[in-house]
Amino acid sequence: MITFATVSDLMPIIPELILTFVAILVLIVDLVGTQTKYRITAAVLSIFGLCIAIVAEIQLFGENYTGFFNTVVADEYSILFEIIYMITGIITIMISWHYIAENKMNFREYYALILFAIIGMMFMTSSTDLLLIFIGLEIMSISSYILVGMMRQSVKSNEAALKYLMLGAFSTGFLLYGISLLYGATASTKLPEIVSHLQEHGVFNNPLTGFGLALLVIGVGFKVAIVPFHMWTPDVYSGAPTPVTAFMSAAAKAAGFAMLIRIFLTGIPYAERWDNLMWLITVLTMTVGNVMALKQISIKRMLAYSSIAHAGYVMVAVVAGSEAAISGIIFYSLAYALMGVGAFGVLSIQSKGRTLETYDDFTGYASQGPKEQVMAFLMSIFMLSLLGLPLTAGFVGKFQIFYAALDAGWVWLTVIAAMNSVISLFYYLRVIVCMYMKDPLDSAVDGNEQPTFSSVFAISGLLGTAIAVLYLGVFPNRFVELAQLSVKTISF
Amino acid sequence: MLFTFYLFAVIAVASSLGVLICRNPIYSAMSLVCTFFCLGVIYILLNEEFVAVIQILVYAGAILVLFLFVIMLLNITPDGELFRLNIPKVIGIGITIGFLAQIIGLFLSGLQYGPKDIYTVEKLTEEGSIAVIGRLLYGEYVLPFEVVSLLLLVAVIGAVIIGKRRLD
Repeated sequence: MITFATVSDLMPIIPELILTFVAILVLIVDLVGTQTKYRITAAVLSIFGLCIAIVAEIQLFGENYTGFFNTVVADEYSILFEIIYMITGIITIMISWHYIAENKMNFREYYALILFAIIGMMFMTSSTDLLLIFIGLEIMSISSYILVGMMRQSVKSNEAALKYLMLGAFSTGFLLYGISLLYGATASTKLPEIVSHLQEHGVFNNPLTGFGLALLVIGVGFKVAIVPFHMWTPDVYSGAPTPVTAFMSAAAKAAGFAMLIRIFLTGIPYAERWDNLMWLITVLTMTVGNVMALKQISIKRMLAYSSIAHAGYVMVAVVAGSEAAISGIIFYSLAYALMGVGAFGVLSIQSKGRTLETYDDFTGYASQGPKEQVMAFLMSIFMLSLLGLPLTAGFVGKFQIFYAALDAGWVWLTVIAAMNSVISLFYYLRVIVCMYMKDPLDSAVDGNEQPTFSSVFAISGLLGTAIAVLYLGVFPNRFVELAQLSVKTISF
Repeated sequence: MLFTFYLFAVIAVASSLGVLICRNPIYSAMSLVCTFFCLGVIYILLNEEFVAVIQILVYAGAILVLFLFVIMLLNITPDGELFRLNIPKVIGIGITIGFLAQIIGLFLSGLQYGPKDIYTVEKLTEEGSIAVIGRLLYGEYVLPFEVVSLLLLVAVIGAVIIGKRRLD
């Protein structure tokens, strides 16, 4: 006999429903008026919708609803991650309005697409069925392909979008192949059933399972840009509109890691044979990211490589795999979301009609005017936090991950990770040195401009982000406790 | 039965190789049609008539016509250059062969079949494959089924944005 879903099944997906409703509303608002004064409605509406969804998530916290035949769960783990995506979304929208107006890409579908991408991430995180995880991943990916290529008059943006689409489709093929092999070996797409089957029969006794899992790692590895699968990152990140880069580097990566944890760390029985492979990938990811970041001229490209390096730090915790490591990943995702969005956000704000991109553009930046002074200060905070200086969120995140790795007995891995942090000192501090300790180039000084309302809106968003980075650095306890609590809810 | 499977499997592999090797895009597209038909036959051998029909209708009927339209509209001419080997291609071919060898090795070395799902041939023939699929789509898998509509909506929005004439 067939059983249908009922209304109570909707409980765990209420935030997703709210966001879907708002996204469609944004699309409809688009039809109302084309004058400039209506343009902010879409942005404000999206932020409003995200805030309501966050409130809904907080209401669901601790209730542990499941629905749709256990396809979705609203456990503490997924709620924390979903709140991270939505906070990233709010900051992204605040910095976007300025950027897309300046760059003639003021489509209001932009906001709807960001909301849809967040919905995709939420399904990715809260689902325990590989089918729904895959669909969520695709919603996120397709939204980001479009967002990357939205600056239609820019050749670089088009190139980035095409490259991302091609490589993304390719990696999707790997992921699907992996899922179908797993289904072939275990006769289920539901993670709890797959896990109980594997616990009974072992992971590597059947070659199909091992091969399927390896393909799954490739597919997810592409999305979070870990080293043999990182080739697309620098080109796509530097070609995309800067707020979109910020959004992808923070939220999409967090979503990828949320999925990785859900599939590999809490479910699939731990297999010794993965260690060497994962260890190698982690070391490569950190080192390649940091070394390549050293020789970049463009700050946007440097940040792209540094985001690869940060994925490497998170992979250290994935290798460690303990409960403390997972709660470290959750904290690090939040910390990186804030500081990554912040750093890219500063790049997205134009100064005197110019786009800031290279170190030269930042030379003597702090002495160019009051607005520039504020921005240089914000940039310094984000750089120091990315570096992992104490009293910033980045420090607490790195500390938790390194401590968890040491605790699990990965001494050499921690040493290599710490050495990599030292390498990153050079290029993060170089930005600060450029801004404060050098004289501006002649071409940059001329003219004084009145800050526009949109840029003030963006800067206030960045200011909030910087305050959050410092707050998490000084008072991390509350959030750390939440993360530790949430980890306890996910093991099957 | 087994002979039919091997026959169409070989044709499917050969024609999908043809997609890659043919220099004329029209020939490539036609090889792809051939692959889809072979896959349709394999689905019928698996007692999945409905999926077989959908496979041919959607892929051979709709998606391939789109491919051909694009080829015609863009006026893609056959690529005149001969296939030349360079270092990245050699590395790529090496990795591909290694990957293929691994897959073949997997299937030769003690492959175990997973547990049987409840959807056996008897059940399918008794209830009809459409009924089984429909029940799954609106029962157990209703949420993924509904969420796919969001995916389609996003794709439509993307097509509109990319195809929009005015920039602002």
